[in-house]
Amino acid sequence: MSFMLKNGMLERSNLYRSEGIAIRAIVNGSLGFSSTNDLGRTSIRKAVEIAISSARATIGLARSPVRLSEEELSDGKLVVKPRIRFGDVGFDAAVDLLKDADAAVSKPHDGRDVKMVSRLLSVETTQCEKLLITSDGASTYSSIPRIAFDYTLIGTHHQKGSAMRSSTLGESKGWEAIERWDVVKLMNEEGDVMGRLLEEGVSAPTESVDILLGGEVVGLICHESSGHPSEADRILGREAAQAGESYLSIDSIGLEVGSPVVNVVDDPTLPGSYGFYLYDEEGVRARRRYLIKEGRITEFLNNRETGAAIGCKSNGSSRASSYNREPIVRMANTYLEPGDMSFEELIEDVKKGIYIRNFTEWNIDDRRFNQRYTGFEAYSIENGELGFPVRNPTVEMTTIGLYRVVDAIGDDLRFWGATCGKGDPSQGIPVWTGGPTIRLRDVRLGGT
Amino acid sequence: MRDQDIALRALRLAKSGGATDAVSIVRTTDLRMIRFANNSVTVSNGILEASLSLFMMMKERRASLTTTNLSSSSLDELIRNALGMAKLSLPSDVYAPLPEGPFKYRKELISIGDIRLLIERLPEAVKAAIDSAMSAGAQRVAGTLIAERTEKVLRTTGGAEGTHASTCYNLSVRAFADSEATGQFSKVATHLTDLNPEDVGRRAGEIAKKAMNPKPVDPGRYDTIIGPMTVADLMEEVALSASAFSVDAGSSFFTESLGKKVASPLFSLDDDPSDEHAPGSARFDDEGLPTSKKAIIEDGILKTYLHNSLTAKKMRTRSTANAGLLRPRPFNLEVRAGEKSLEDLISMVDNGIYITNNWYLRYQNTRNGDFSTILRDGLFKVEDGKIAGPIRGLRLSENMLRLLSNIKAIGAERHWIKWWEVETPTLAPAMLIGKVNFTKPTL
Repeated sequence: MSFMLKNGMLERSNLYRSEGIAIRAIVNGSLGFSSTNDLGRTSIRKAVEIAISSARATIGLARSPVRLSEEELSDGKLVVKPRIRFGDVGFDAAVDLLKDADAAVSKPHDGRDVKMVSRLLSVETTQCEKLLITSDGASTYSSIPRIAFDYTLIGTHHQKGSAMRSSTLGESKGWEAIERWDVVKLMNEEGDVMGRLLEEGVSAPTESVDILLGGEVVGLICHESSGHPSEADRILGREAAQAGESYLSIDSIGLEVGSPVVNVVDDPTLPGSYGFYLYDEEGVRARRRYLIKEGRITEFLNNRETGAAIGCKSNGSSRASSYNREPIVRMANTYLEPGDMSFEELIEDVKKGIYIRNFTEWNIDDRRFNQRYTGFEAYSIENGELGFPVRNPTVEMTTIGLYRVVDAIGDDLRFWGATCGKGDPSQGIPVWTGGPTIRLRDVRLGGT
Repeated sequence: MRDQDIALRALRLAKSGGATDAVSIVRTTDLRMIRFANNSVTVSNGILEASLSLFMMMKERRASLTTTNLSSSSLDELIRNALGMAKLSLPSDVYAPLPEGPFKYRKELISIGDIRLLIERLPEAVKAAIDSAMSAGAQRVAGTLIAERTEKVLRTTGGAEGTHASTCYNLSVRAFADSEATGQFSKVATHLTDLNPEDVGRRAGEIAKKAMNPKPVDPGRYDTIIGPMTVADLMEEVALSASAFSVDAGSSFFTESLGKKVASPLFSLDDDPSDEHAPGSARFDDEGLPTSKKAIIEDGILKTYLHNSLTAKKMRTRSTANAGLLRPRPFNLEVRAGEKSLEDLISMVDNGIYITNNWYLRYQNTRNGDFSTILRDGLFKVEDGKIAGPIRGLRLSENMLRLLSNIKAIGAERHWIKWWEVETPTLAPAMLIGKVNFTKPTL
């Protein structure tokens, strides 16, 4: 179920129940996929016929036969129970909490002349059950709850214009996650930041400076320019017409793309994470993957199809958003491993710099090489001290250009929720993006 | 149960449970998709889906549900729970009763497109697209061919009763002349015979071939010809901001702009759900109102927001029959044609850029319209009225209102575009826009 407050009013409350069956079949190297929401025997038989007949109809055009890697397939069960079920909270109490969060962000902050003119706050809770059976022996069942809090805020100042901020928190937990996030306190803090930013924010410097990037920015960077280019289906060209390909090739294992302090991990097995799973959609046991270790490409994300094509094993990266979407190579929880430096240690020898704590706009090219992140909450750094707020500092760099100038990693690892889009028909899957604060040396900001 | 019976039963349960107003929609879809990459089919999809969407109001209180479990017991439980949510929910600031029917809908729109999906002919269309792109200069070709048949049954407590069926074929082709020289084109049509896969493949292949060996170029402001693929993406953003939902939320760059100049006087944008040859056409919106053509922007003036009954009442106007169950949305976007050929547009530029495609359009701020988008596929420098050669690595970093205001000329040839990045079928020409800002990575 989901509900959303728009400027303090309950705009939407929606129940969603979806169930069905997916069939995947390989016929002489041609892959067919079908699904139906009707679980009656006749409909399932028809879906099987469609998967097989559509695969058969394109055998002549399937010039690269599909094979699946040989794997040790799972026979297991995973049941995650929420500590506090949404049904036990009461819909009115849940809405009241969001009302309080809205009041916290929309109230006057420190007497500033800033109005929070647009506020969209939403909560979504789901319980996803999956049963997987394959002809080569996999048999898994999982039941995983998820909850997410999503917000978009726009503030205006009569002389200084407007600014927008969006973010998402998500976990595979019950209502207890919302309580722990303390969304009222979070919205109060966002209101404070928006007020100060709009009233006191100055333009970003144009000369080269040192940059501290907060964990929310680092998590997004890891997802976009480390996770996506490591997806083996992109590397092999299977997503070329939609999400695109990769700046990496199948020969890139060992390629130096960053400084030695850069270690990027994707790990589906983190308990409570938004991208949590233990068995993938092909029955392969999930495990932690090092995408970049000590600055070098270490491993791609593979399912059984790409594993067979490349000549390696699957590392449990096959995911589908629902029964009506084909399982493809996906990330789970992608993050930069933390270092051992405190924030104070990261900042203390920065003479002139910018601290970009989180972001607003971002995008990246389809080979995952040319990327841009525009900061929302950002501050100047002068002689090791945080200074005044800075508006819209923009990091616009190549992937290798960015990872190679990382010289220090903080110890403050945190995670944020996100819905990653990929595939055709498009499918959004829950993931975590995470990171600690990092330091980049001597970078010229872009965006102008 | 038949779709009509499910829709009617859901409506009765809603009313007997205390709903003052309810809309019940049963949607049945048969979607077939062939995906291809490296000149080879990678997967064939067949997705059969039936769902019920139910929107209910108890005066100012509302709730909705969507389900693919259409069994009586599941529907009973879900509707009971949704009504419970509505009873507990906070009242909205406005109550707008659903439109009172019955309504007459255009008979020409009962069934749009082919009567049945021409599934058996899809592989030959894929082969034609690949072969055509290769003949035009591609080394490898990727893409998607989608065929979709949708049937919709609507019942409302306002007395609206409607059925509608449509067929849609959508082809997107991306050609690679080498790993970085790419071209993409797409087309959407209601009949397979109108899809012309050879033409889509040829256009993608030709762009890719011309995009080989790109050179870097300085960022800055350039007069820019924007091709139909990118125009379609921008138009979807324009329509989203013209939705009264966005305006009411305070997140639209068209806030307080009704009746004002928001674009060049050369520019007009329509939403036309009544065009029987257009892929997104429909007889009725999600409140059962008969649809009709409307100008969103005409000669540069913002003529209307897109409304449902709720937003219309809030803004003291009439619904434009653009209701989606949750927010107003367009059906078919159509940019009115200009008089220039693509060659004419290029000849008007001394030192500029020609964009063929983009993706990842993201806002810094939707309220003021600041955004950037990555340019992909063929990107060309224009000098002295001619294409001088391919370039690479630029990002379009702009403001929506400034772009709309700086339109200098509009092309005569329009294309029906829909692809991964553009959800609403859009009839888009090329455009010439003055002094467009481009950025590139600093390291």
